[in-house]
This record gives sequence, structure tokens and C-alpha cells, in this order.
Amino acid sequence: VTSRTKPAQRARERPCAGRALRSSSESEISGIALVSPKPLTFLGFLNRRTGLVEQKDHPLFGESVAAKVLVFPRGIGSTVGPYVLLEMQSNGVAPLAMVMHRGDLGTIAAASVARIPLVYDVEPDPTMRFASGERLVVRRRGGKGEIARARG
Amino acid sequence: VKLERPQQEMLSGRRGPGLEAATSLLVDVGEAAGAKRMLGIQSAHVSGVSYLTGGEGLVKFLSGLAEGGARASAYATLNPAGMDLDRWKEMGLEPAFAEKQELIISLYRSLGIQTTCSCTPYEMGNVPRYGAPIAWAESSAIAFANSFFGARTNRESAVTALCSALAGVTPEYGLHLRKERAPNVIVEVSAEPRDSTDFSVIGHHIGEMLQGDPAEFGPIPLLRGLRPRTPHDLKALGASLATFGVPLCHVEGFTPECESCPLRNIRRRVRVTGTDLARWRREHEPSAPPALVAIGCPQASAPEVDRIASLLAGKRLVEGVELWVFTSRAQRAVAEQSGAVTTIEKAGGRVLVDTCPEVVPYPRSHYPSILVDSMKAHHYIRSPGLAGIPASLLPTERCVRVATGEEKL
Repeated sequence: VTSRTKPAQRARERPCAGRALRSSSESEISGIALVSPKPLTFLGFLNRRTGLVEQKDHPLFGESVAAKVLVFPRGIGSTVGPYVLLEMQSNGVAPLAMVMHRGDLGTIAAASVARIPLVYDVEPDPTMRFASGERLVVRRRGGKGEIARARG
Repeated sequence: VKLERPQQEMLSGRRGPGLEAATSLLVDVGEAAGAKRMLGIQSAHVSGVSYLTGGEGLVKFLSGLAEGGARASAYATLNPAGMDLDRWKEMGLEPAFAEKQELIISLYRSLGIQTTCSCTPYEMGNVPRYGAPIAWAESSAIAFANSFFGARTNRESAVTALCSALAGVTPEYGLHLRKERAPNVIVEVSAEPRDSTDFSVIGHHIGEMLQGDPAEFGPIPLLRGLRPRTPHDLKALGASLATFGVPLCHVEGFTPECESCPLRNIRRRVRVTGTDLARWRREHEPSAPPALVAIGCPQASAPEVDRIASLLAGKRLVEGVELWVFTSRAQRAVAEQSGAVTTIEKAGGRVLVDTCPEVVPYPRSHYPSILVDSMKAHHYIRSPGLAGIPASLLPTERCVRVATGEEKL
């Protein structure tokens, strides 16, 4: 017997949706979330060898982004951001996917170059919806992306 | 984004994986920015040269493009490296760093980028025409190209400028559109700058006031009451403004788009007075002799090198203080003709090329404090992400007098 879902509950389960890069192929990726309440910048924020957040005054200080679904409000432009991500990738410590509330061209370029799956301009605000440690599923199809909690 | 046939071919991979990657990036960025088409560019200026900031990721990316057979389709120049390619040993740098730096330069060369290693491409043949679409990185050069020439470039990153150089196009959005180039803040300047250091101080002061401005493509000030005498004054002003994300400034009676720019986007008015300028100068003066005097941010032009030489003629540097003048290889060649380079070196100074005061990985024990004549250099040398060394500021002439001991601190 299945109970009827209340409208409020349905709204809560509505997936976060946004735009995906045209260059990235269709895919479905599942991984553990690391959610940043604050914007982040790649140069000076991440250790390229370890994947650890090394910006002392950042709420994620000491956490590892390696193989995580990194959820953050927006990026702060750094011209070498793409190179930081590429180096992390060769060291095996890059994020698995990235989800942003507001897309910025710096981070979009970085994800495109490093071929890291990215969903941007995501509504509702994914940093409010998800918490670090939750398992998320990131689906991308035809320039659109969706993020939801993994079932079970 | 609509692509013309050459770019369609690049995107399809028929011109090799390097150009495919470059075009694919421009499409991603263009779509995100809402561009409807690509514009053919007159030139590109590429940043991302220093091994210190680019690291292995940069080496990997450039190698991938080069192996993928990519060559520049547009004329493109290159930003400064982290060292003088000939004299890095004199700068106290490590061979391991030098080797990586040389590798990066040779990769850019194999991609068909002119390895000018300069932040002032407009002083060596990369001179954009009024209204021309260009794709430039390097904030100070962007501000100069947009403001002084009236050419059109967004604030490109290292990667987007490089991909535009390769593909020969840039997505049409932002500052390529006339309506986005209108000023959004008016700055009334009653301060009277005496030299280009003062112009850099005024630029920094305005930049700080406009920090956090919500304008999508950055604050675009219209400056009234300021009278630059030379392009060098605008070079200093623009470099400081660019530190705070200003991509374009209009200077009444001086820059070409001023007369025709509409004022309907103005949301704010600020002022800069003589008192502001005097306070800034006072606050940044050194209190003790520096270990190093670094001049040339942006890189000095031949006339600027000449001026330093005339201040140094027949003098010697004081014991314990070094003087480095940063210029480009191209402008040094001109300054050699006038004898200026010999004069500076005879006095004990160094004329360095290919690099700039900000990207040098200074050995800290040798250079615990640095005196500069530009607010941009002051801002970045102190930055923990770069050198992180205490810096102070004086006008060029007094910097030289401190280096020769004529002015005691």
C-alpha cells in the first residue's frame, strides 16, 4: 500500500536543476557531497597534491575535495583555476563533479578544460538543499543537469 | 552559439584534437555567457606563463594542445614569465624552476604564440584598432586596450585567451557589445597628479572605492577632471584600476569613446581629492631602507627606462640596496640604442626582461622588503598568494634617490 505524497513533500523532493556544459557527454554520476556555504577560488584555496582545502579562514578548511561532488554558491575568478584543476586531476585528487548555484565564467572554463562534470545556475540553491556527507546523483543530458539525493 | 565553417571544422575534430579542445571551450563559455555568435579577433594576448602559478596543470594543458597539432590562427603575444630567461641566476632563482619556465615558453612557441613575455603588448606591435574585437588576458593590458585604443575585449582568462588565439574567435558578449561599454560610475577628480606613480595611486584609490560593485562586467568609471599627459599615465592608472576588476575606464578629454558614451547607466558618483592623494602617498612611504627597489609595473617602456637612466647618470647604488628595472625585450632593444641600459647597469642596477615585479619567486631571505613606484606592484608583492613580502611606495624619482642614498630614510 502506498500512501499519497502530500504536495509539500513533493516540492521538497523536486530535484535541483540547472545548466550543463555542451562539451560534456551525457552521464549519471553518484558521489558523496562536500557542500561549501561560501564561494571558493581555486588558486590558494586548494592543495594541488592532496586535494585538501588550505585556505585557513574558509569553512571547509582541512576537508578533501578529492572524488567528491563539490557543491558551492559560486566561484571567485582566478585566471589559473583551470590549471589548478588539471594538476589535481593528474594527481588523482580532483572533485568528481561540481554543482554551483551561480555559474561564473572562470569556473565554467576550468570545468570545461579539465572535463569535470559541472552543473551551474542551479535552482533551488543546492548549498541550502544538500549537506556534506550525503550521497548525490548528478545527471546531465542535452545541456541540462539535475542533482538529487541517491535513493536508499 | 552559431559557428562559421572554419570553427565548425575545428569543433568536429577534423583539424586535430588541439583545435577541437580550444573551440569546445569557447562554445561552453559562449553558451554560458549567452553569446549568439563568435567574432573573428584581430589579436590575442595570452597570460598564464609563470610556473609558480600555472604549475604542472599548465604544462599538461599546453603539451596536450601542442601534441594535438594546434597552432594559433590569430596574432598572439605572451605575458611575462617568472624570470629573465637569460639572467635568472642573478635573480637568485633555482635551476629546477628555470627549467620548467623554459619548457612552458617553448610550448607556447610551438603553439605559434609570439613569446614576447611582456604585459605591454601594445608597445611591441600588438596594436589593436578602434572597435576591433580582441581576446586579451592580463588585467592591465585589457584596461589599456579597451580604454586607450577603444578596442573591445572581455577580461579573458589564461585559458580563454589561449583558446581564442588558437581558434581565431571569441564569443560575442559583454564588452564586445556597445551598450555594455557605457560608464556606470562618475569619478570627479580634483587631485592633481604629478607623475605616473600618482596616477597609479589615484587608480588604486578609485578601485578600492568601487570594490564589490555589482555590475556584471565590472565597474566602468568615467573620470572627470583628470589630465593624463602621456599614454604612460593611463598605463599606470589603468593597471591600478584593473587590480580591482575594472576592465575599461573613460577619461574625459583623453580616451576615444568618451564623447559618444551614454550616461544612462550611471548609478553612483565618487570623488578623489588632493587630500586623498596626499594621505595615500604618506601611508605607503617606506620607514626604513629597502633591500630591493623594483621599477617597471607594468613593464617600463623605452622612454621610462631613459628617464631612470637620466636620474642615475654618474651615480652609484648605495651598499645593501639593489635596483631592478623591469622592461620587455623589445623595449630594452630601443633603450640600448640611447645608452640608457648601460648607464643603469654602470650605476649598479639591473635591467631585466621577460618578467615583472609580481611574478618573480623572490628568495625572501635576500629581499625582506621591496620599494616600488606602482600601486599595482605594491598590491601584489604584499599578497600572500604571490611573494608575500612587505612593500612600500614612492614616486619613480625618489625610488632612484633612495637606491643611490641621495634620499635617506
